[in-house]
Amino acid sequence: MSKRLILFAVWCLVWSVIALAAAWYGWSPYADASGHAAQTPMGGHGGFGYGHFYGPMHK
Amino acid sequence: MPDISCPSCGAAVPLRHAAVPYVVCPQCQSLLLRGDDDLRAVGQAAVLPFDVSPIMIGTRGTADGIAFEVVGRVRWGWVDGAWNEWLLALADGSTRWLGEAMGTFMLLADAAKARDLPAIRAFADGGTIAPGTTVTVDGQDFVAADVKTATCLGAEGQLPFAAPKDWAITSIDFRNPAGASLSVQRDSRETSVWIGRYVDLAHLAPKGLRRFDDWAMPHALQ
Amino acid sequence: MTGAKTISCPNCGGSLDVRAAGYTVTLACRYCGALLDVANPPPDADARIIIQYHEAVAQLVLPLGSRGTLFGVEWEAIGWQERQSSDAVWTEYLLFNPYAGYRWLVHAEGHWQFGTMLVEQPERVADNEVRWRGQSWQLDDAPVTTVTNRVLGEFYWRVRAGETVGAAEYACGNDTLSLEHNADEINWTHLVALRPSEVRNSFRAPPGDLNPATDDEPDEAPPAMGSGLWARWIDLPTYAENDAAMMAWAAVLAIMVVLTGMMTFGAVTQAVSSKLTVQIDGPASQITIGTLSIERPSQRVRLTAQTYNAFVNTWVDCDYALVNRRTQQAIRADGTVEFYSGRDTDGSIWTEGNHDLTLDVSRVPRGTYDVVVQAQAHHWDDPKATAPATVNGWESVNTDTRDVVFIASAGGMDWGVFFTIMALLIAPPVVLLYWQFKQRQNA
Repeated sequence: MSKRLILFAVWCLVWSVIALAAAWYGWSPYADASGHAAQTPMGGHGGFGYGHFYGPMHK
Repeated sequence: MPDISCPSCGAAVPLRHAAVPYVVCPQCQSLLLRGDDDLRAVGQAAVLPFDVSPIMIGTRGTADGIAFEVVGRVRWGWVDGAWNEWLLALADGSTRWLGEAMGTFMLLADAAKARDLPAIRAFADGGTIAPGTTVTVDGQDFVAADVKTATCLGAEGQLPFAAPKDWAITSIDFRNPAGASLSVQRDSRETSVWIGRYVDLAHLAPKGLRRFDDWAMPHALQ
Repeated sequence: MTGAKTISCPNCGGSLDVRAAGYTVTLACRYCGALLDVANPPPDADARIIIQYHEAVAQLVLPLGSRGTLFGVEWEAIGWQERQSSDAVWTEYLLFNPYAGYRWLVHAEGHWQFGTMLVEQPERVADNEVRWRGQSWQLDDAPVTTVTNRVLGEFYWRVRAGETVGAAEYACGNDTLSLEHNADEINWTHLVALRPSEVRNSFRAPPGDLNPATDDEPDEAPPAMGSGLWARWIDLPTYAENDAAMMAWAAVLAIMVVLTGMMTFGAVTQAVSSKLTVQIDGPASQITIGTLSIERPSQRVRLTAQTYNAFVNTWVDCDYALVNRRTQQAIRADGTVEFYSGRDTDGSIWTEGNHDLTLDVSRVPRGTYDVVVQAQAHHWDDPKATAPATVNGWESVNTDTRDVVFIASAGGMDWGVFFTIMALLIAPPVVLLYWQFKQRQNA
């Protein structure tokens, strides 16, 4: 038993809780869209009416 | 057993065990030898200095399942310290020694056959055994842990040998990983070997331990 | 009778108590500092002076004669010595109980250890390893020579200032086996760590002698903190030998719990799907895939479009809307299914893109949603391909139609989050193990 071990246990607990909360509420930093915040489409391929380009990148 | 009368000073000398031949008169420290018919003074033991050993003559207990009574003691002193050896008379007629040094206790029995081991024989013939030397007895390995030259500081009670003042020995204690112990003692005439193990005082279920005004007896010993 | 014998110092006449009479060999007079031999007293004197020296009696953290209970037994501190090996200096107290024998209390760099002399000899299994009581003990550091600097009080052997022993320490977890040897003896001591609060709380100074700790190495926790969780935290060692292994176990356990939990919470609770026919280069088509009901305060929704290899050199714009029935607000997400293929000048075929589209929508709030998707497909003309066929001089218009299967599901395991968390949990023990490995290599 040491301070270091206790702190690591807290670290594990914190991240585990975050992971389980994220899974329950469906939160993810990797999502393409959010049900909460408004999101503007990014990238070259957007929705209707937005400037974009199509076609392969292959030359 | 009835007391006997000291031939030197006339004091009453209590006896606890019929088979142990020598006894020290508590009054004048004469060494008395009980023969078949007679009682003779054969030497002088030194006055024992005061000590705080919890064991006393008359303390009772159990060793390896057999009841014992403490009937005698020899005290040895070496250059830098001292220890006690208590003679235990067991209910089955045999005897054991309880070595007491630096707060540790060793229960030992005679191991005469170990005298034939080459390392012991060499020592008996005048050789030396250095700390760290290994010896194997009955399949157990022992390592020499300390070597001391000692003289007898005094004796009390009944003893199987004469314990005169200034009796000198070389004593070697061996230890082993399982807590077993081997003890070899060499004096000017012979070498004896003792084998046994270290014990906690509580393992002997002692009764009649010495009491001190300023020390409570621990629970384990009550 | 008491356990102490009173003698008078032959040098200054001071009255001294010998607490372990019969065992004690040397005793330092606390008045004049003379070191007395009380082992084999000559008939006419209580003690002989061995060495006469005058020295200020040290202010000890535990005054000699103080008693304390450790491990269920009452001990009296009867002796003290200051010892040194190379640059390290520490102090040792000899504790005594007539029924229990002797123990040691070692005070080094603010840490306390309780030592018991071994009667079972450890076995040497390798150059730097011994085995005792079924455990393996590793050599902690190179063997050193330890010298005794100063002596106070009583000892059961003739302690001399300046006496040296060869010493080595073996460790297993938080415990230590200390080996000391000289020409005549080999002694092993088992040392266990004590918290400073355990020592402080159990040893009471004799009345009239109450000194706050004035040792040059103050204990870590000031007494004002009191006992309880905070004091226990302070007393914990900063790190321990088996930390890396314990941390690895903790991380593995946490990862398993997270995996099980995330897969349970992330199970798909509802899925709807529908097929939509789109015309390539035609107008946008729209369909309501189905209705998703989100029960939790929020949940993830995964939107998929599958084309089954039907579209080549085509892109399909997909615009999703999750329309909340109650508020008529829409959550939008869009993406494109693109798959292209062609032939290089050297004749080899290249492909790019994906036949499917997956979009993840996070934290869709509780409610009932109609999932609406609009799709429009466009053909991509490969400039390297041959000129488009003409029919009667007019460019042929592609009137192909293709089917797209749209799926919307509530729930879904987020592997991205899982692997991120797993990396975070496993990193500290791995880093620690690597660092410890490097240390061992350099040692």
